[in-house]
Amino acid sequence: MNRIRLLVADDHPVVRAGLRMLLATQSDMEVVGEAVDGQTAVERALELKPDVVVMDLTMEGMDGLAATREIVNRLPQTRVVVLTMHDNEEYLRQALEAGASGYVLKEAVDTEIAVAIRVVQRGEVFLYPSFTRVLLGDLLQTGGTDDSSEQDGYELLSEREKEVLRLVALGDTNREIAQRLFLSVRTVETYRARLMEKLNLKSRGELVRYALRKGLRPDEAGGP
Amino acid sequence: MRTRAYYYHSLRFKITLSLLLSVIVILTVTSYLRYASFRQLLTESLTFPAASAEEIIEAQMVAYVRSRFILSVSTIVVIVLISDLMMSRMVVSRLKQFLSVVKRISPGNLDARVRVEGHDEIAELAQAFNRMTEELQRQNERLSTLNTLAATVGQSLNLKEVLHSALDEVLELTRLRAGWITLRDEPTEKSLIVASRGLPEGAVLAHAHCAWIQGVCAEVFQSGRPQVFHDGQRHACPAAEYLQKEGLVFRACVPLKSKDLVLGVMSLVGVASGSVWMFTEDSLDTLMAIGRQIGVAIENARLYEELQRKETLRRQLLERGITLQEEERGRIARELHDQIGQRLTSIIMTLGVLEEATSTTDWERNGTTDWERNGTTDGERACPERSRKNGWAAPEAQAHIQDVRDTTAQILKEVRDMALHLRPSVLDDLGLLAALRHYLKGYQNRARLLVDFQALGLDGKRLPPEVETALFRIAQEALTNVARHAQARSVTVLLEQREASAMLIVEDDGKGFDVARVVDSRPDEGNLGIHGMRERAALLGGTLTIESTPGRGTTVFVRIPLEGRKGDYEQNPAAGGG
Repeated sequence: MNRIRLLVADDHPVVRAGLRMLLATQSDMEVVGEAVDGQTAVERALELKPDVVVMDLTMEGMDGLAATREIVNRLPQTRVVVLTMHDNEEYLRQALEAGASGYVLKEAVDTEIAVAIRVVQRGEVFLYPSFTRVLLGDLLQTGGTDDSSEQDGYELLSEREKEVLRLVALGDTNREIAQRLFLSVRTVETYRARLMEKLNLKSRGELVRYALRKGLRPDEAGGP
Repeated sequence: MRTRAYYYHSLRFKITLSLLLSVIVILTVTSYLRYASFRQLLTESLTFPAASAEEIIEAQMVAYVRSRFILSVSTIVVIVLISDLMMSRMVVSRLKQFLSVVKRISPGNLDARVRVEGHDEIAELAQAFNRMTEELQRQNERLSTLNTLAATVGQSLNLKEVLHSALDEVLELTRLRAGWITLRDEPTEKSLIVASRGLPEGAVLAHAHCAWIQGVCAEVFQSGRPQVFHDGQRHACPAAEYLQKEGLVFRACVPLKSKDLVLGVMSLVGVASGSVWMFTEDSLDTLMAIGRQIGVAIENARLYEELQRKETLRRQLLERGITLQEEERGRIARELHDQIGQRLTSIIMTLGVLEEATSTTDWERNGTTDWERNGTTDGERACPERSRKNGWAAPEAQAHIQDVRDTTAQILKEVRDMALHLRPSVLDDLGLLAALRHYLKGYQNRARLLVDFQALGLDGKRLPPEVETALFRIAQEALTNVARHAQARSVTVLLEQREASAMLIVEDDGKGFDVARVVDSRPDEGNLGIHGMRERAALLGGTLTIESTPGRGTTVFVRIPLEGRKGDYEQNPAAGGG
């Protein structure tokens, strides 16, 4: 049986040593090389053509994300498992965008790294379990907010209310709107409350989203 | 003063004289009338000789009484007419003219003067009145001089500008040729000309070497009293020679005082004392008042300069403080992350290997391992049988390793949270958008609030790092305030990059507060956070506005200009997001 050939990229010697030791216990794996930063990781990968690269995200010089992108682009057969301390879906998103197939947290390295390596080597994706829920949540949320059936009360608005709507959506303060429209701040507040009621908007966030959909902002003129 | 000539011109003399004249006239007229009636009587008596003596006497009596009556009436009429004429000529018409002048003066036309005719009491009154008006006019001029000067020196807080405009103003008012203002330069103890007008070049140069130990300026400076030199009177001043050459023989030195402290000296020079601006005690008083005003202006300008210097310093210190704090937090966060985090990772991995080992090693056969030896007591080792019974069997050892491993993983998590709290690495690595998104996820759970986050015009772009840090910290502070005070159900966070500015809006639907009362009050524990946010925005040339209506929530608007900053925000300006 062919053993899985691994390249370990991490700028901390203790982590590299630990990984070597940990992976040495796995009879189906073999660490063929190490790299201390992103640049070296790319060079070593091109040279050794490993099956899987275990990649730290934050390293000196070219960081793990850039190195991942480079390796995935140039070695289609090589998979990358990100091994990081960042329990943060922002990094996860970036890593996946860069082309990583696995994402393992260092706190779970002992139990998950070997599994992850085997999974990605088969061409599948391995994520730290708590992230799966995050991604699922995002998926559901995107489905949820895409609500185009909302009834539109735009025609119910007076000219003044439309103007106030547009300026609020642009991020003007009530005072600025009042000055621009020659109204009192109080009146602007009233207009805003009334138009939000008419359009059934609960917050500024919804108001801005509504204005974007309606193309009420100048920079979104050619937009949705 | 009351000479005979004066008496002849007085009104009383004139009236007496005119009365006397009228009496003479009346007497003349009366005598003529009496003479005429007698003649008539005699003519009649001669024409009618038949008349008896009684008849003649009676006729005479009648004629006499009639003439007397006519005489009295005509006398009275004449007296009335004459005195009316005289009164109107001498008094009434002149009083009327007087009145018209008074009427012109009262609204402020101090140029009006009463015409002085003759030398009587009314003329005297007119002269006194004119003198009073002149005095009034002078006082008025003095006040308006001071007023103009106050307005001039109050227009600017720049010391040089203030002194130059003050000097211009004073020269115009005094109609003197040249002037200069010297201030004491504390480090060199020399007098320093800070403003001069119309001064010969040699004089300026000569003055530059004035040691301010002796000389007229030093005297005025020490005494705080003005000095005036007429007609080339000798005085100690390095510039005197050059002034003489130019024919500038008049000189006045005025101390510039503020709160009884002499700050400098203003010197004014002119051609000759005869032709200069009314140089009396009074004008010296005016000059002293001018000196005080310029002194106050100098003091103000200096205080303002000091204030500005301190404000700049404060800004720099604040900026440095914030930068240092961020750097230090970042450094500690990285240290935690890199040093401690990686070592803990390595421990976890080692424990993983150990765990593996305990499950695969045949303990019974291989006997004790190093690890087991360390974990057992000497007594237990002495009795292998007991050791095996009471000591750790493989599953037990595995359980312990598992415990240590879990604890280590927990410590790693805590270290990571500490690092995140100090300064999220995501802010540096992935930018504000990712950092805010991540922060808001945690915030939503902690604060139990509905968070709506939108970012517009920012996709994939990074703002300049200092702007990202500032906006992140401001958002953190604003959101902490919402969680702590607002009792809100939901909060909207908008991040937008439009044109060349970055905007952040944090709006909650909580109970709101009286912004003016909290924000405009002196900084204290209660509103320090708000002032901190504002300072942070101001350091980057931005603004922070808070709008709130009690019962209707609070909105924090932050705008930071991006012109002239490094970042990739300039690219792809048309990008919008939905």
